This record gives sequence, C-alpha cells and structure tokens, in this order.
Amino acid sequence: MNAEIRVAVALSGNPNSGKSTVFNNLTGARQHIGNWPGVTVDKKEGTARRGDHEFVVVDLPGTYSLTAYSLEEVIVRDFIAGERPDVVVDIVDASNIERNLYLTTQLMELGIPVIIALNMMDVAEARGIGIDAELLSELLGVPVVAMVGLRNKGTDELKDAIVSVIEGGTKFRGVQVRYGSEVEEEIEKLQRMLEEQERVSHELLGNYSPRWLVVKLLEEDERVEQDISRYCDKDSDVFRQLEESRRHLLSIFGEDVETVIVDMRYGFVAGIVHETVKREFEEAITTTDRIDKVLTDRILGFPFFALSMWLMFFLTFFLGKFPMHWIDRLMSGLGHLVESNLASPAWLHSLLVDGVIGGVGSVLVFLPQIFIIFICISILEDTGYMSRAAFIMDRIMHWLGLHGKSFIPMIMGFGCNVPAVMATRTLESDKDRMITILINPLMSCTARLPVYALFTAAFFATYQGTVTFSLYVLGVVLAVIMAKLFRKTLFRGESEPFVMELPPYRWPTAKGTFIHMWERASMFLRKAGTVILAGSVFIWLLSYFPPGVKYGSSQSIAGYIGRALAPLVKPLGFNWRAAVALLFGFVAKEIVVSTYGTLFGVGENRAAISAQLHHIFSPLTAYGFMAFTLLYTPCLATVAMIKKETGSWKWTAFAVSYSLLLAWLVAFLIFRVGRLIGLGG
Amino acid sequence: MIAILDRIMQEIEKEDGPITVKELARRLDIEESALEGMLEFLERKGKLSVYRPGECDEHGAPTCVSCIYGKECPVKDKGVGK
Repeated sequence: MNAEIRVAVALSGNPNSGKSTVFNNLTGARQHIGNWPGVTVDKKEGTARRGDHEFVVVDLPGTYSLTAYSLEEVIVRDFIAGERPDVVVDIVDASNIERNLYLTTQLMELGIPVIIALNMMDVAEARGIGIDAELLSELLGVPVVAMVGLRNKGTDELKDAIVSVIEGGTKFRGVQVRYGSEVEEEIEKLQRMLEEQERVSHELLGNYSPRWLVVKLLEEDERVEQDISRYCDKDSDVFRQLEESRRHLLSIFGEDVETVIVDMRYGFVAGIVHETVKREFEEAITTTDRIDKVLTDRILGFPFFALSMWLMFFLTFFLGKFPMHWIDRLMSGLGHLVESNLASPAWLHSLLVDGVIGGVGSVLVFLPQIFIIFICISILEDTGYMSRAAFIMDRIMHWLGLHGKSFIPMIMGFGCNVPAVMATRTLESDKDRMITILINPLMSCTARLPVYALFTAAFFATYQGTVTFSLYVLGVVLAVIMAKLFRKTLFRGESEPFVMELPPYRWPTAKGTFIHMWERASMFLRKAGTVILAGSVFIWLLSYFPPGVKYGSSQSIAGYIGRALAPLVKPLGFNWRAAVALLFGFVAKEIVVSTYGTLFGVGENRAAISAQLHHIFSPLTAYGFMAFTLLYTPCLATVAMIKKETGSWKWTAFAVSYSLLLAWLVAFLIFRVGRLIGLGG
Repeated sequence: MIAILDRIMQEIEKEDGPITVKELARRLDIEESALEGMLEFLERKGKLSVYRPGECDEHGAPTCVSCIYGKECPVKDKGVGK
C-alpha cells in the first residue's frame, strides 16, 4: 500500500454558495469546529479521503471579495497567504455566477492552485442558465467541476480534481486579470522594486504573490501597506514609486486606482460570463413584477398612493366610530360614577372628573382610530407597499435636489416624528440630513390624529376621512416646499444618486401586523398614562386656580395665560382657549385635545366638547386650527431628538421657530383667504 | 476606460428619479447579484447610495422583510420576533 499523502484544502466562496454543504459532503462526520485565532468566527475543519490521499479541509468564512473591509475577508486572505494550502476550492453558485467569479479572480491572484466547484447547477438549469464548464475551465486556466451539493452530486469528481492538481495531472495556469497597459506598467515597476527589497523578498514574498501585493498596494489596502512597511521604510523607493504610480493613474483615468482595478475585474468577469453562459429563456415575470408595473408606474403610481392613503383615513374614521362610541360611554359612566359616589371635597371631584377623566379620557376615546391607523400602516409596510411609496415619492425628492432616502424618514414621520428624526442617520450627506430633520415634523404623526378626530367630528362629520387626508397632504406639500427652499438657501448642493432594492410583495401575517401595531399603540397608551395625565392635571390646576374663580374661565390662571397670548392668535380667528391648548400641546400634541377636555369642564363627553367648540370655532377656523396643530412647533420629544441628532441648539431653535412661523402663516392664509372667498369666519 | 461602473453611474444619472436594482440589472444586462456587488463598491466610494428595505430581517421578525425602516427600525430593539 502507498504511503498516505496529506493535502491541505481550503474551501472558499461567497456566502450562500453552498460551501458548508460541500464541506459536509467532503468530510462527512470527520469534522470539528473551533474559532479562528483571536476572533469568534467559527473555524470548521475536517478530513476526507480519496485513494491514498487524505485531505485536510478547512471551511473558510463566506466572502464576496478579498479586500480588508470585513473580518471574514481578512481571515480568508490571511489563511490562504499564511498557511499556503495546497489547493483552494472555490465554491461558485452557478445561478449567480457573475457575482461569484469576482472572488475567483482574486483567489487566482494569490498564486495558489484554484479549483472551481460549480455548485447549484440544478438551480441554474431551472432558471435557464446554461454554463459551458469546459470552456470556463479553458478560459480561466483552472479545473471546473460541476456539482449539486444538496444532492451530493460531483463530490467524487471534486476529490479527483484535487488529486489531479496535486499529482500534477492538471496544470494550474490561473489566468490573471490584465488591468490595461497603463496599470500593468505601474504594476511591473512596483513589482520589480519590491522584489529588489531584500527583507520584503525574504519575509513576505515566500507567502504572497508579488503581483497580488502590488495590486493591493495600488488599491490602497491598509493591511498590506502595514505589512510591507514593517520590512521597508515608508520613505523608500517602493513607497515613493507607489505614490507616483497612484498619481499618474489618477491623472489618466480620473478615478482612484482601486476603482480602475475593480472595474477591470468586473469587466474581465463580464467577458468570461459572456463567453460561457447562455440564458435559454428570459427570467420569468413574477407576481411582484406584474404588481409593480402598475404601482410604481410614473403616472399610475401617484394616484394609487393617494388612494391608499385616503382609504386608510376613511377606514380609520369609518371603522373607528363604533368602538369610539363604546369608550366614550365607558368614560362618561366612569365620570358619573365618580361624581355620584365619591364623598370628597369639590376640588377633588373637579380634579378627577374635569382634570383626569376629562383630560385623559378625551384623548383615550380616540384609541380605536389610533389602533386602526397603526394596523393600516403595518399592513402597508408588511406587504412591501411602503417601500414602493418611498420609491414613487423619490421622484419628487429628486426634483427637489433631496436624497431619495429622505422620503423614508418622512414616511416614518406618519407614525411618530421621534424615530423618524433618528432614521435620518441613514443619510450620508450632512446637508440632506439637516433638511430632512427640519422638514420631518411637518409630516403628520399619529399624535395629531386625536385633534383631527375631535375637530372633524365636530365640524366635518360627513367628510372626516377626506378632511384628515387633506391635512396629511398639506403636511407633505409644505415639507416639499420647505425642502426646496432650504436646498436653495441654507443647504446648497446636489444629492448623490440613489438606487433602491424593492422587496417582493408578501401577505402580511396577523401576528406580524399585531406586533407592529401593538409596539406603536402601546407607546401611545404609555403616553396617555404619563405625559397626557400629568399635562391634564397641570392644566386643571391652571383652570381651577385662583380659588373662587369660575372653573376654566378667563379669570383662571389658564385664562390669564390665554389672554396674554390671545393677540398672537387673534388674526387667525382663534380665541384665548386655543392659545392655551396650543401652548400646552407643545409637550405632546394630544394635550391639545385634553386641554379642551379640561378647560371646558364638561368631562370627556364628546358631544359636550363638540358643542363648546362650536361656540369658539367656525368650520373655517377649525380647519385653520388643525393646520396650525399639524405644522407648529414639534412636540417636546421630537425637539429633544432634533437636538440630539443635530448636536446644535441653533438648529433646534431654528426647527422650533420656523415651524411656528409657518403654522401661523398657513393658518392666517386659511382664515383670511377663506373669508375672502366666502367660506365664513 | 472605466467600463461597467461608469455605465452604472450613467444609467442612474440618466434617470430623473430612483431606479431599482432589478431594472438597472435588466438595462445593463448584468446579473442582479453581480450588480449588487458593484453597487456596494460604488456606495463605499460615496458615488451613490443604495436603500435596502428590510435590512432588519436579521432580527428574525417575520414581517420586517419588506418594511421600510431597514437598520433604523424603531421596533427592533424591543425584541420583536426575537
């Protein structure tokens, strides 16, 4: 029997290329798992046999390239260069061959024999992708083995290919990517100089291919630069030439060398794919494609988006009115119960009935609407439609000179402005980010919904959904106008191009929708039990004192504050009570509603509040008031988030003051123009 | 001289709005997954940005696959789906 020949085999490949399956097929149960030195990434090792060859197989982490940007990439290249396995088996997903071959070109540059295991051939065939493995092998100068890892097909052929490479039956040529005469000239110069450096030659060139080192140096790979500088001074000829070569190539291509090299590699891969891959039929048109043809259409997309938003508000009010009525009755019953059974002083009665039940209860009755709107938003998100909405709206954002990503935080603002402001972190440009932060509070969050619900029920009962929808549209339109204005004045510049991945449509699951809805609705409930409760008690105090005055009258502290502010809101058609409600609504917008509930001293009774509102508002001023609530000063939590995200008191103050001014101007225009055209006053 | 990457940039800039990866791959006759790799490179170079909805899928929330929040999902830290 022949002596056993040990062969070190490294398995490399893209994530999800079926590498682990091939590893299991090769090694069976003969494997163990450890860690790569110094890191917590799994290191799987195993053994396999073929004839008198024993393979020691190492499953390397999945990577797309051999740059030094991720831990996995560093592990792979350090292992291949440091351990110098006898063979690198590159697992290539045949159904995504173009992306996978990009790694192959880099593995071949390392100068170690490479075998391509063309895995998932069945998937490729099913997709109509035909690959000429023989031609691929010929063009790349490496053995290519077709495999179906999941069905353990091709494992023996792969073992044979490894043996053949080891025994010299298959010559490894490993075709190198040529980067064009200009780059090649510089590579040659640098390679020569590197080889002349005795210490570099002695310490590094035994492991690394000199060409690979030079290419990495040109690509500004920091790790390779560090490695070389250990054996060669930074002011040596090598580094001087490196700088000179980079400058020279930049002047020729107008791009940094890394971009040029990456582009050449992709070009090389594209050429190989062009020669060896035949697509027998066009990719099937999926249901998602068919739906997207309509929903993301330049013309049809907008009306569908508007219709879906309108439908959301219609459902919110149509379906919400029934449970709202039940909660209303429950709260009224609670108020009567307290009033008739609690033997306590008058002030405590008033605190509980007018302050707590009137304040918190007047907001809580809108809980059904809040729940329904959150369910609708969750469904739109979970189906994948919200991504399309962002896609459609991006055209407008682009026209504004804003980044397409800006609309995503804006859509989030429909839920709550606080996480939406936080989400602007996804924008790389500071200018885009500042504009998006500044306009975000103009997106109508759900905290404004109780205000709309209260006023539309009182003044626009037949068209509640449509009027609410118009306020959301008003917010978006003004956000767009302000964005354009900020771009033209405060934050000049162009935004970078934007590409979007659209996920496939999915049926939302009941559980998922409920989780999303509950996460948001519970925040509202917590707010009702904390901020709104505290705000209601505070407003009750201001309405009740000084002792002896009529509750909530103009002689109370609230009345005093309101009268002081009244001249500011009088041109808008509002009275002092509106001034108080808006003042305290700064803490949280729902407090606008609870303030009225408390100030009127009629408990949470919606009909009574509605009747009181009719005394101080007309439909025109009610609409102006809703617009003011939508646009003015973001709530306290949003202001805190703006400060945190901008890191500037100046911009926080600007966000507060410009929105206040905008709200005043819009409410003023609604009132004045409305009166001019005979809409009352 | 800059071939594929330049074509990508030209195609995106030609569009007066966003473009999907799928559409871009179709126009350039590049495999979608290969294009994703190229876009990642261009994104790293600051030449464009790519929005990938549902990046919080890694948190295992089944419904997050198509949500718009990506890595900034406000509910992911609350243990949804974990």
